[in-house]
Order: sequence, then C-alpha cells, then structure tokens
Amino acid sequence: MGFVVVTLGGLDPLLALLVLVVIAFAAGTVGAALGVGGGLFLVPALVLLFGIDIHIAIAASIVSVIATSSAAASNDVQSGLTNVRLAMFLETATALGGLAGAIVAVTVLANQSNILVFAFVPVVLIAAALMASSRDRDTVVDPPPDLLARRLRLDGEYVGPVTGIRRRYRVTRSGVGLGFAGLAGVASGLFGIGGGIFKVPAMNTLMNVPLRVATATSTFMIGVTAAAGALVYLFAGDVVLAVVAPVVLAVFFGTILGRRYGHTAPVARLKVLFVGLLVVAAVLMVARGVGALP
Amino acid sequence: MSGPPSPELPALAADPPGLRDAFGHVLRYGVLVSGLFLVVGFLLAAARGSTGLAGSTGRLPLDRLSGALGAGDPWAYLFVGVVVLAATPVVRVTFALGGFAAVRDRAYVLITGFVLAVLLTSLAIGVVG
Repeated sequence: MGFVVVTLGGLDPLLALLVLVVIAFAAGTVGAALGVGGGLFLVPALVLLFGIDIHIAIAASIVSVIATSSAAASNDVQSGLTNVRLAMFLETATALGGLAGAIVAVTVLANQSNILVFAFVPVVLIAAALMASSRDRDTVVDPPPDLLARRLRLDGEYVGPVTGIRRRYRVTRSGVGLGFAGLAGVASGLFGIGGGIFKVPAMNTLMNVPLRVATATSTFMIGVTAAAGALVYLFAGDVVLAVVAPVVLAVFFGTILGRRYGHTAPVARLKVLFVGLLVVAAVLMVARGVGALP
Repeated sequence: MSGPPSPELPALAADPPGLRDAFGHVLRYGVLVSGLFLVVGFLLAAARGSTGLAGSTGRLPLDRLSGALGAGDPWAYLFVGVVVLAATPVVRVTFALGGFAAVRDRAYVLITGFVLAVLLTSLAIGVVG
C-alpha cells in the first residue's frame, strides 16, 4: 500500500493513517454532538501530531467542513428549522470573508506557517471561552427595531422540539450580525474552521435567534463559507489528497454518528472535554511556534 | 401559545416554493456522489499504490482527467470527489438564485447573486492563480 504519506513518530505508516482516521472521526462526532465543526481540533492535531504544514492541515479541514455542512444541513433545511433568508443574508459576509481569508493564507502567508500557527492560538482560546460560557439564551418578544431585518423579512418561526408549539422570533441587529458573520468568514478562510462557534452565539445573543435555529442556520451556511475558501486552497495546491481523502471520509462518518446519537451524549462533559482539548492544543501550538517542540 | 399574535407584526415571508426541498436534494446528492468518488479512489489507492498522475498534491491537469479516470488512477477519483464536494454549495446558491428570481424577489436575487459572484471569483482565482 503506497498510499500513506502521513507519518507519526516511528509508527508504521498504516498505523499512522489509522490514528489520523480515528482523530478525524472523533473530531466529527464531538463537533456534531456539540453543534460545531471539527476543524478546531483537526488543524492542531494534524500540525502537532503529524507534523503536517499548517496550510495543508487548514486545506484538509476546510474541505471536511463542506462535507460536514452538506451532510448535516439537509434535514433541518427541509423540516423548516433553518432560516434560509437569514442564511443567504449572512452568507454575503461569510463568503466574502472566507475568500479574503484564504487569499491571505495562500499569498501573504504562503511561506509564513509559523505566523499562522501563532495566529491560530487566540482563535482556539476564544472558541474555548465561547464554548465554556455558551448557553441557550431565550428570545425576547420585543427586540430593538431593525429596519434592515424588517425590509429583508428575516423573522421566522420554529416548532419547539419538546413542546411542539410553533414559536415566532423577531430578528434584530442585522448589521452587527453581518459584521460578526464577516469575521467568522475570515476565520474560516484563514484557519479552515467552519466558524459556527462564533456565528451561533452572535445569532443567539445579539440577533435574537433561537439557539436551535441559529445552529441549523449556521450549519447550512458554513458549506458556502468553506467553499469560498476551499476553492482557493484546492487550486493553490494545498489540498493534499492523501491527507484530505481519509480526513473527509472520517469526519463525514463521525458527523453522521454525532448527529444520530448527539442528543443522548453527556453534553456538559463533552463541553469540558472540548474546552480542555482546545486549551491543550493552544499551549502546544505556542510551544511549537517558539521552537520548544520538534 | 397564548393569546392572539400582536397586530403590528407583519406576515412572515414565505420561502420560494420547492426551494427547501431543492436544497435538501442538492446537499444530499452532492455528498453522496462526492463520497462515492472518494471511497472508490481510496480503494483504488489501497489496491494499486500511489503511482498515479497527481502524486500526492491536489492539482490535476483538467484535460487529462477523463483519461486518468478511465485508467483507474486513484488520485483522479479523489480529486473529483473533492471538486464535487466544493461545488455542492455553488450549486445550492445557484438554485437559491433561481428560486428567488422565479418569485421576483429583487432583494434576494441581489443577495444570492452576490454570494454566487463571490464563489465564482474564488473559483476563478483558483483556476487562474
């Protein structure tokens, strides 16, 4: 089998591939169970464990983000949970941000892998803080008026999963939300993450969107965001197929497992695990960046 | 839930008919087709080794792609799998543009048109650059 190009210490190449698949599968499962993508784990794991250049790790992650989005979004969009108008509106900023981020990564930062490794650290720490403080904020009946949201008819309704009651929500602060979506897009293009960890709290806390709707809408959006970046990486030659193929397939099947059994998972414990792993990843990436790690 | 809805709330906007189902189908088939190519490529690689057209990088000369697919080059199958995956959101946005155009929703034709333009720019930068 001459397929394997990943290496892990002195491990047999086939075993190294197996470890890669297990990590990608776990990233997909945990990500789906918590409603975020797996990119935040995947990129540090590929860089730290396998010594893969961060550009190639980011490219592999961003392609797997598209797979996650496409696989996870279809049911919610057909059932009506996803707010399609809100998604299309915010995608203008996330796609533009994703394109810009990817262009910066493959041009200005093409030979600056260390800068990308360092820059990834605050992103990981902010994500950890957001996850640690995340909660389901209830929508308010009478949010601040927002002319743009009204003009674009962004309001929606959804059926509560437990109560079965149809509830209406009014979207507000669409301009601020658009700004956050743009930042999430840049983070996606630069670092190969989906950006849901930033978009979901922004939609829930600022824009008065119910958490379940925000999660479904974000999942639906990240495919477009990631595609804007992935197409740039793909043709820049950073999509190394020997890394991408096993990662995408493993993340994909992990996502299916996470979505099917996510509601039975101990979410509180998974959150602690998620935050802990991110902090460890941040510390190790700093150590790698300053040359304390091989 | 409780009492009548407050009177000043405007009616909720309806999505273009059939658009949600179209999205669902595009996403599902995109992942399915892409996954098939990736699995076939993976199995071919395991069976034949990696001495194919593209080596380990993601760049494949497009004019040689069909020949490489016919010859069972694993990298060609993996490449097509990734390209189909990346193209799925582009197709999805194209459907959205068509859906909003069909109901003459000018604001959303502009919005989806902009998103499609960004994606096509990304594709163009990739192909040319």
